[in-house]
Amino acid sequence: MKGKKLFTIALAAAMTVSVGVMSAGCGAQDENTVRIARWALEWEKETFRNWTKEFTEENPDIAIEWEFVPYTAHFDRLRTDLLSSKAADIIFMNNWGWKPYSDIEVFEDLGAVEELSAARSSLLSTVHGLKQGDKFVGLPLGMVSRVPVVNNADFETAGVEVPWDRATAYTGSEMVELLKTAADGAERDRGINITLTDAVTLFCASAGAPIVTPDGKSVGCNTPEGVAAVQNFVDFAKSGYVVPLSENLSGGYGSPDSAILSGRVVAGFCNPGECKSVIDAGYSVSAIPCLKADGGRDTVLADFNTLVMPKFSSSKKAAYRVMNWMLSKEAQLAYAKFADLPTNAEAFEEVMTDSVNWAPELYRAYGVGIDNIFVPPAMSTGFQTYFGGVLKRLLDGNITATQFCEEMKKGENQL
Amino acid sequence: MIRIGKKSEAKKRKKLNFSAQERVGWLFIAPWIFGFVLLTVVPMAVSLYMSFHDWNMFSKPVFVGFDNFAALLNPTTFDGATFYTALGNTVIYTVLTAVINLVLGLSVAWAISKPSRLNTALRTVIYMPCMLIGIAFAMMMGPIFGSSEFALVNQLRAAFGQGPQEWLFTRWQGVWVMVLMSFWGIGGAMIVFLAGVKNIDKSIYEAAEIDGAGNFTVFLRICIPCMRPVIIYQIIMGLIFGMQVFDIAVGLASIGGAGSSLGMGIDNSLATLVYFLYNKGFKDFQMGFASAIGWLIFLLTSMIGAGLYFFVRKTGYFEVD
Repeated sequence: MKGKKLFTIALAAAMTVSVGVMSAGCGAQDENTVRIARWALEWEKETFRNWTKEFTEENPDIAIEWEFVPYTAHFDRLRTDLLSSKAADIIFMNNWGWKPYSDIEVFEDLGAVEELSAARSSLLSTVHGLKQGDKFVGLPLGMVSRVPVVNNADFETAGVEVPWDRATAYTGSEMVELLKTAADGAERDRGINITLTDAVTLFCASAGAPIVTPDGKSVGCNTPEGVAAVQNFVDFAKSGYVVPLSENLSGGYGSPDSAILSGRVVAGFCNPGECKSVIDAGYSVSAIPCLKADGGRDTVLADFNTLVMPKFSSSKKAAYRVMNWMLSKEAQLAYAKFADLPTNAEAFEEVMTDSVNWAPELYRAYGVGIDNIFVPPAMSTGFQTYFGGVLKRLLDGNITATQFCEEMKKGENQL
Repeated sequence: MIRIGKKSEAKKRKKLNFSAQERVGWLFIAPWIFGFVLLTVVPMAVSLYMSFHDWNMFSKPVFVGFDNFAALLNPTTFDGATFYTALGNTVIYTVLTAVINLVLGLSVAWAISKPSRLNTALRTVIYMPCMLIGIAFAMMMGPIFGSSEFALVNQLRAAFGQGPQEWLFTRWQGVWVMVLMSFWGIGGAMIVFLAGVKNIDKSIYEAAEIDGAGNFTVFLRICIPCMRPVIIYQIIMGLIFGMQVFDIAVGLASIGGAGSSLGMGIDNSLATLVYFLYNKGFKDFQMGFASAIGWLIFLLTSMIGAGLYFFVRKTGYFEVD
């Protein structure tokens, strides 16, 4: 009996010690090791690792460890990592995931970091970072912008010249005219599958009456310009050449970025990376300028993949060097080959003008309206749901453009 | 002479004087008690505290009193309207699912209660859909109930000259798809009822047979009364689990269409109470608000369960004649 007691006590003590040892094993991180957290598909992981190999070869004193998870898991995991102070040194962030973190004082003010002044000054003047009040907490690494991307073969069949070098954005009626000719000529069911929430956002932003203002605190479309822009959108969306809301993201027309693959539309809605996927599937495509309201301004609707750093990072000095490199012209040009449009001004200029290395029919259209970039602010889940409901009622014909704007204004307190 | 002091001391000594058997018993259940306190009681207490605060997990909680509850219960506020929509969807789903499981589960259990190879095979086939996880099952509903004109049900509508219907993303319609999915899950109820049917004394059936009772009469007058405790148990458990519906709502909302990136379905068509709690707590980081939702769910579920229990006790339905 006594022996059993002693054995039990010894076993309990051994378990306690082993737990302690394991916990201690998760020790402090080397200050020259930079952990970078990002979402990634399987093929992207190796591509990102290869991208940063150039930096580590030039800076052998710094090691980079990439941590990849699926897209939504990245933002779910980030919350617990920040709470436990175990988050990576450099974290990829975008507008979609920013809302819950936008008023949390956990990120470094990168605008005040002297080591990053070169990186900041290299950015396009119209590019947006993530801000918390006056603090500049996010460095924009790449610009995610989508434009209509057309099937060259369909346009050729219809006898329509592909307007990839058009210098201005299309109004709704102009786009419908173009798509009508192409779709009817190529005998496709519809003209374009475009994300309708993005389309209405773009129409309103181009009219100077954004649905949600850039600070994310109020609804700005409840003005005469906003109502007119919404009406332009309705006329465009209900022209018969735009895939309806119910089929927008699924169904027989595919999703906007792969709509051309469905064979039912002449145009999809893609960023450059998504264009490459369609090209890899065997299609010849071109990007054409996007949309604007009648009398509106050429506008780029964009989100930015942004780099943020938690205040508790133990590898700040090394991470600053990595960030500086990531925003250098050379790194940005390499990044643009497989991911987003560059935010470095020189790199962006090269992408837009170097016809040898950057096929103009794939990139030129993304520059139309670059002087007026609108980034839809992050929205709460409640407002997203509300927005969808009001948009559906608009497109079902249950409310007018004026009522849409009034309804959106009523939902303002959810922002 | 009354020695109160010494008597109460004696009582105390008696109370603390556990027998050896009692001590061993307490020792065996101590881990469970520890886990229950640590993982249930403490979190409940913390969430009750948080429900009276505004807390985003990263900064200190700010006391707001009953503001969270007031916002939820006021139908004119945005969150209040969402809460009542979620409550309506949840109640519809809960009640109908409980009825479906009860009626169909009991009927099927009765029908296949007699031992035979066919009945054994049927039990397996009927139970198999229960092994599917909710999310996977919900995603299978996309090609059937999706908004696309190519979805199965919309194609059937087209055959009758009707246009496509957005089943999942129209308010007060998405919940019916959820209710329909519960038909696939009657296997679980069937197994419970089957056990109850098999426990009924055979002599009662024999007596009924001698009296000339038919199959339906035996089911109605013998099986159901004898199964009262099981039926009540199944109803209560069905109501409790129904109030917590979450995975199929999330799965349906993620199918596609505009609802996939727009919260709990367009116009909160797929909103349920727990889904609302999840969005508020883990998407919007409003932990205090989410805690308030959690406690309202707890109170509602308790009221339903308690109401049913007292009704049954009053009418004597727990007792088998």
